[in-house]
Amino acid sequence: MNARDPGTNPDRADRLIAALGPASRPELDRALDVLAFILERLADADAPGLDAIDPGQPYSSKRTIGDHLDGR
Amino acid sequence: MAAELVDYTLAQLTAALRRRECSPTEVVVAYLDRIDRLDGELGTHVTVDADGAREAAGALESDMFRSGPLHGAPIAPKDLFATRGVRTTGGSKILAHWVPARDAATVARLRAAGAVVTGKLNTHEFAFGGTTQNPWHGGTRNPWDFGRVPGGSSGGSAAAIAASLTVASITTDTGGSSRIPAHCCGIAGLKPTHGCLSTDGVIPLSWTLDHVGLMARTVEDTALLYAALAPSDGWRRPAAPPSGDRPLSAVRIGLPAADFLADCEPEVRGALEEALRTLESLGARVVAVSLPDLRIAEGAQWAIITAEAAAFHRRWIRERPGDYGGDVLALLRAGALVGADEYLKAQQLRRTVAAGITQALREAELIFMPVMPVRAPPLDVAASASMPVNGVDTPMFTVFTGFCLYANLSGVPALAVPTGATGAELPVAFQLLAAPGCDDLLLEVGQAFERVQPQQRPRSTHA
Repeated sequence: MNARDPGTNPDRADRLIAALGPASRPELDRALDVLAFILERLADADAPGLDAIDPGQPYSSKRTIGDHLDGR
Repeated sequence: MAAELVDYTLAQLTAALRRRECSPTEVVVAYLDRIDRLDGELGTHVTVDADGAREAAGALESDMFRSGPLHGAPIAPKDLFATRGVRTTGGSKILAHWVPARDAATVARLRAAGAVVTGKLNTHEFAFGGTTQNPWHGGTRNPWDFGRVPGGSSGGSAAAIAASLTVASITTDTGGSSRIPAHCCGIAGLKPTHGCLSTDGVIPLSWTLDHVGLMARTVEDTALLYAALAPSDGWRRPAAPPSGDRPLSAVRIGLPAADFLADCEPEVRGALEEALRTLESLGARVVAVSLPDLRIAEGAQWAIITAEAAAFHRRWIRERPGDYGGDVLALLRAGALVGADEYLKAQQLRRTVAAGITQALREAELIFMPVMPVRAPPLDVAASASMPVNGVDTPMFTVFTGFCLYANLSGVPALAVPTGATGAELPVAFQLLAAPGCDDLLLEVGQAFERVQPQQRPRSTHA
């Protein structure tokens, strides 16, 4: 699957059109280029264990991130 | 006299105001006159609030003893901060006519400290980009070279400070937006510890990565601004001012083993190596540190920033796509396609990146990094998808934010300091990172550096 090419990634392209309304082919390509940049880099990393983050605790306060960085 | 007033640093200006060598009205009039003469070409302001500024300055004339540390200083916020009664566009068409009923929290602190808000400064549309070439409010020029970008997204702030159209600015920094323009325009830019300055009343870009930043001509000025605005509660770790012939002898500076300097164009690398030697001459000891992999950090940063931005903009990108610039619309649409699993993986990776930065900051008090691998790019180059850096085709995302995003992902404070390299036609800055809460240490070290390395100013500011 190539995230850059809606021809080989119809699911992404369909979702884009469904979610955001029709876009021209150049506009679609531009968005998919950005997405490819992101996904290629995410794919380079193994997902950390599920304990690596509590999804209920986003980095929404200085205490959260400060405590984390202090090892607490 | 008016010309001298706009040449003052914030420290010099507030001292002159305290001594009553000049009045708030004289200062504001001098700045408004300069904006009127120069900003048509520089494009730093979205809105000039001349009447409001004169009124606020007049009120300060009779309130000398009640006002705060920024008494009478004309300071313009980036146009992402809500300002009561003054339109706040976010650099957009969509909010072009929004007039908030209240001030953002940091604007309120600014006014309470005695600053006079003179206007609102240009930004990349919704702060989502590094060039500040705004399709709705015009492009901001770099005062050092009008054919180059001022950086972004706080490019209006940086150019206005470098050209003395304001003495300082409050800005934002989600992926380097206070440090990138500081590097491009030769001024200082601070991204404080995450959460230090409130983002209340700031148009969000990415709420888990957004920071309020500070920009001023010098590190000394940035420290003055920080002292006036930052709360001094328990999490802030004070730093003693360094002193003596080798004032940084207790400081270890971590140099990333990945050799980021080798990734920079020769002019940037040379300026950074010289700056590092200067820091060593002040007593700092350079040690090697390991940082998390840049590609993984980039994946996490861009997944989070685009997905969160798309969530904020979801209705508008569906209903008003024609009211966005093409570059920002592409980023938002990409963010709408980041899956929940990918977003969560990015947040997981973010935590591993933060842990890596934490480890590095156990081995050194500071981390030394470039801000960007190149000097301010030409306008046409900055608008392209990639550019050659040392012969390697490099995505513009990486050129602008690659070295800055570590501090946003981890939340640690980071300070861009101009190298002040003599004879340079374009400025270069380095950045220092410190442990959470150690913003004061950054500012002390930055000031120690600039005491022995005077800063340059762009030729256009001599107008």
